[in-house]
Amino acid sequence: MKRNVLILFGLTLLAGAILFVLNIASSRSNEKKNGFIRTIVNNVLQEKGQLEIPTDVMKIINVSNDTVYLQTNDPELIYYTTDFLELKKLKFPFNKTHKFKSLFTSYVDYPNVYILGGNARRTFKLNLTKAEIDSTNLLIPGAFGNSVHINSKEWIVRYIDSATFNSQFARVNIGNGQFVTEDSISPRLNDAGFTNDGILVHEENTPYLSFIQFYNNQITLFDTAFIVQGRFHTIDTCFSPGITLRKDSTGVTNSAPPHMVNGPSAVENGYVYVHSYLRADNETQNQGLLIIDRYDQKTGKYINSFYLPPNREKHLLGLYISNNNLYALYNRALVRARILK
Amino acid sequence: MSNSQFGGRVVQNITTGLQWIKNNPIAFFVECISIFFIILWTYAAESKLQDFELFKFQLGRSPYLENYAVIISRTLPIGELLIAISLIIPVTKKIGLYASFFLMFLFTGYIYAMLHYSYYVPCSCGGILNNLSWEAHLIFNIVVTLLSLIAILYSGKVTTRTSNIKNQKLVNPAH
Repeated sequence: MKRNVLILFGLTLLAGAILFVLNIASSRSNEKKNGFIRTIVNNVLQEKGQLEIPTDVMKIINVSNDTVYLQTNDPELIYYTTDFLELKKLKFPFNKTHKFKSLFTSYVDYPNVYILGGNARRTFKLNLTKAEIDSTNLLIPGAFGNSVHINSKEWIVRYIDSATFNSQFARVNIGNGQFVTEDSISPRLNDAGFTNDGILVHEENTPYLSFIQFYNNQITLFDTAFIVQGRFHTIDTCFSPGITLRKDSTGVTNSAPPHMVNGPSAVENGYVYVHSYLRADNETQNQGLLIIDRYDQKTGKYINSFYLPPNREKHLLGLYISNNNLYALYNRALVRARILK
Repeated sequence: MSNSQFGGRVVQNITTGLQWIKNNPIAFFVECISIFFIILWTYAAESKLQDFELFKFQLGRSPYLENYAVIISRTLPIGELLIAISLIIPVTKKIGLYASFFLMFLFTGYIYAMLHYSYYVPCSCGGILNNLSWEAHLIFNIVVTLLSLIAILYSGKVTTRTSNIKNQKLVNPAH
């Protein structure tokens, strides 16, 4: 028995050493200095609460009248909290398919729940009080994501054309399934949208949308009529995409791990809030805190940066700002903080 | 041999087998775990070799393994098959269990590191495990690593018990 334990101990040490070496040898470009300076402001946020959440939560859908709605990996289940003390369930069975489940976006405008299936190219509108379901097939010529609710009839989505593998934004009418495509925002790269992938954010009751790219520093501001209002960049120096692709007859995918520049983002009161993965040269001691860079939405001007409240989770899944409250979604936690300045 | 004789022999074998399990529950438990690992490693190697190019490509997308994708893609399936074979042969079973523990511990640590420290988490599993999330995969690996640990510790007890019996015979040759 003693010999067994000794051998097991030795094997554990060996495995640990291998993992340690792999970790040291892996490219950690996001943790080194990246050639830019941040203006870091302290005491921007005042933490107002933290809620433990199940691991099936995928994103913050929206915040309406201080009720936070959370999308899960099941289109028929939404979590919500009104008091930030307890998570409640909204369960609404509808005729979903496996294809629908693979890619979808929800939006809650109580009592209406909208669900757009990006792969199924189908939309459901459910009225929870009347138990009514409307469904529309969308005529869009490819799978779509980055779906943003504009009004009760229209959404803006980023779709991949099945024939050309080009990615474009489209305004979709969920009443009749018709759509209008832009032709001046996205370059035609036949890359299934990988190179310029990003996150589309929109502030309710404004016509503006900001598209923040993941693998380079571009931000594109355009309106709901697809007129480009400005092309800006975040404060880092990543002008070209840190991504390599493999294209073959089956499709397009990454051929190496992409280097993320920017991630979850949000917009409110004319400011765009961007979570950057890059460390600035003047961030000598950030204690592993996650940074948010703030920009003027209309001019693209960098305002300042601040850290999110400390959390044991280090991967930010989503960011949402409503009524000067910032909501940060992690793997197992939802944090609410008041923006003080 | 008539049908009734054959049936009687089967029933007798089953009874003997059940009696053995009753008398040697620990050895039976270790055997079950070994069989489980034989199936697991064979399946894991087969699913990798079946779509070798995809496996190599997916390894290349891992931030920790991108520089070693070629060598790992070639050695890992062979290693898994060798472990499965070593678990079948009684003499090398213990070595197979140690190797299973080592590899499972390595995989578990890798998944944990990917989930907690990696800036990018690709999908790189084959076969049925492809349907598991990384978190579910981590739990599966922890359970399987613990199983291998238990099997090694209990296989020690089985060996000790057997050697005690042998020693008794040596001391007491009249029996």
